[in-house]
Amino acid sequence: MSEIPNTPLETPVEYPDLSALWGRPLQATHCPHCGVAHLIPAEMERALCPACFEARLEPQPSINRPEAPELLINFSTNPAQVQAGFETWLKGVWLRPKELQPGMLAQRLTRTFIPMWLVDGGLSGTWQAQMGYDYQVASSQEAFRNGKWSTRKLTETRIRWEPRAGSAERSYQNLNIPALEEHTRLARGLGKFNLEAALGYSPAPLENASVRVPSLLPEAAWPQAQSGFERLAAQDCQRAAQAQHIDEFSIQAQYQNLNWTQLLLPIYTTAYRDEQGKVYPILINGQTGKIFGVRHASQPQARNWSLGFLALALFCFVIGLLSAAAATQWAALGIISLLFFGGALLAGIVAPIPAFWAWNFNRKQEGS
Amino acid sequence: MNLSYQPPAGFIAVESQLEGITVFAPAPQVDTTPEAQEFKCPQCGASTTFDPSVAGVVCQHCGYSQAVTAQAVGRTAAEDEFTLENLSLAARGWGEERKELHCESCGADLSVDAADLSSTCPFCASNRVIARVATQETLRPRFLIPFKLQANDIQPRVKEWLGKGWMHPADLSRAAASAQFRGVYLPFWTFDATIHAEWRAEVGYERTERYYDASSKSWKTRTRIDWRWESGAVTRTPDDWLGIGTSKISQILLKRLYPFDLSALVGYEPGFLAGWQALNYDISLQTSWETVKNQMSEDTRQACRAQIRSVHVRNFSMVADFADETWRYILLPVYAAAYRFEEKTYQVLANGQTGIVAGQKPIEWWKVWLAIAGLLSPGVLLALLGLVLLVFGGIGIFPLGLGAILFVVGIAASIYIFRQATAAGEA
Repeated sequence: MSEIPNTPLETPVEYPDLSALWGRPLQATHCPHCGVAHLIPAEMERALCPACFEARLEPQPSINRPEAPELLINFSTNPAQVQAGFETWLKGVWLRPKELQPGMLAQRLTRTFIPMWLVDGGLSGTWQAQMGYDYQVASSQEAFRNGKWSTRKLTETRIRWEPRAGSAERSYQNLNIPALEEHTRLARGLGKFNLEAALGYSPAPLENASVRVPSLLPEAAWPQAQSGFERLAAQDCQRAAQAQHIDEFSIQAQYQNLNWTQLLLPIYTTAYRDEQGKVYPILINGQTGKIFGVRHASQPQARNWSLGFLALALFCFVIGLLSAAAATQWAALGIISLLFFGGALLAGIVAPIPAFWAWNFNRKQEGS
Repeated sequence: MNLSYQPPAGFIAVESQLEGITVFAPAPQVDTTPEAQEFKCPQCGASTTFDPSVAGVVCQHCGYSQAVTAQAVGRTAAEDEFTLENLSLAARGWGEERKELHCESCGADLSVDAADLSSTCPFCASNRVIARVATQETLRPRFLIPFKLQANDIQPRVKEWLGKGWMHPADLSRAAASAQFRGVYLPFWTFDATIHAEWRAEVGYERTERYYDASSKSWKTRTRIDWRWESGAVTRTPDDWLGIGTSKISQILLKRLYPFDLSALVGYEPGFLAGWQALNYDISLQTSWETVKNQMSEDTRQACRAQIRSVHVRNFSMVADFADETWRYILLPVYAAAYRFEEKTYQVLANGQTGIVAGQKPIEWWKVWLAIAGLLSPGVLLALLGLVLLVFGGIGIFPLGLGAILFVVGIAASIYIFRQATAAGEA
């Protein structure tokens, strides 16, 4: 790996004066359950961890990166809009746990900012690649129908691969590099943020909000930044060589003038528990309102429904048997016996449906 | 900019579309064949010619010889795709100083040595041949099969060929002495393709059934055909199918010279053409490909039909997808001569690799008609005799029947002879 000039010190520092750095009173905390570090307003004591909702945050004496971020994107959705989003999101979830209700989720909404890096820098070095150039070939399809031949002319596009090499000296700005280990998962679930809306840091938007502390500091995030630079360099080399495709790109480069900028992205977090007490956190993009989380169907409720139908089936069956026995004396009871047997059959068929539906719904949710 | 950058060996700088990035690509292969090459003897200065017996250029004056070396490539010779880019990038011209002679009689364009100012056209024996500058705006052949046989080897084969056949003049073989054979490299295209065809047809299967015939009040047997839809698929990979590149010579005659052994293909070297004539193509790549593609399509159709296990087929349809089509432009060795017989000119060709001879031979039609009359007359005479005998008694039925059989046999033999004579006379 090349040297990373201008990168900050990576070792934890003593608890600094966060208020001076961030412009408002903040305290450094961590979650004893998930280990995630947060900065929370000083007045939010013993708040639930907005990442896992499993434990209350505890103060911690040191923090990896105490400096305030350079940029921040403010919330552009409000809790009412998010609640409306929950209504739509939960449509079609039949057997919900008690806590999986739009109102209850909205009640627990927590404003949180998650960090990411924007990296500027330049590279110079030598590269080589296989460049693919499209070319057209004439082909045809011959058809024989009713004793006659007909031709359909076709044009196929094929790729001619040729080696290319050269030198590159380029500068790139604002590479999006994760500052959290789970950034890729979050980005996939929350969708894109409009980075154009980023503003210079000010403490006002942090009111009643927690801030995730970067878990990937520049040194740890550098491999991703380097591959980002290489990806951009590959695109530029492809453009320079006027190729339509590129493969086997490699570059030996030196990196200069690296500058890491921290940007905070706005998200809401909330959570619900199922009947077994398992917590399911839900994240909401604070810019677009996109919801990311698991909608879990209640297995106990489903089981109860299934057992209820099964009991009904058993009851009908027993009554049907008794009616059938009595029908040997009073023939009219034979009709009633048939009705109860029919009811038992129907209830027996319906009985597994709730349990199966809940199991299948949860399986699909976990798969997605 | 990284000024110290050293590109890989054999790479040259090419245009870059972005500032700050340099691009280097492999240097294009340079055609090492000199633009114009003169074949002069280094010892005596006389012109040298390619001699198949020594596989090199030979000076007829002082005996100097030098082998023409070319890479034997055979059927693995490089093929081109059907791209306009390839056509425009292909090397052009003949790579040696050549003149083109145009025959005003038959229209043939001959590429000959610069020193040849006049020539007898090998295709029509005409001397109405004028020199003009050979065009360089055509594709240059990349491969050829060198002449394996010399003109001296061809003469007796042609004489033997002329002497064959009873329907030709008896003194025809003497005319061969007047025929001057000139070796000519003729232009051909070779084509490859992969064809995947899918067919569908109604196929009929015969079934024998017994039925009760009410009119005759008896059980009889009859054949019924059960029709059902069937489908199938065929994949064919025709390899090195030849397409003729010249219209100056009868295509029928040229096809009679087949096969050429393409495993003897070598890379094109101008030395192979020293002292020999070569004909430039006038049937374009596209035109020749259309012809060969039709043959490939028909071959594929027959392969599809062969999958059907019944003679009863209707509503047959198929779609053939062509893929991986490639081509080569090659030169093949042919000896050509024209001889005159009774004020008429006839063309004779010989395969310069295998010695197969094909050509036109005059037909003495009186011999043909006499033979036909001889074949038909026994049947006619016997039938007439039978008719006469029928008048005088029932015994005539036997010669009448035999005469009819002989007449039918005679008709069949006559048609065969007539077609043979017509085929020998055409082309």
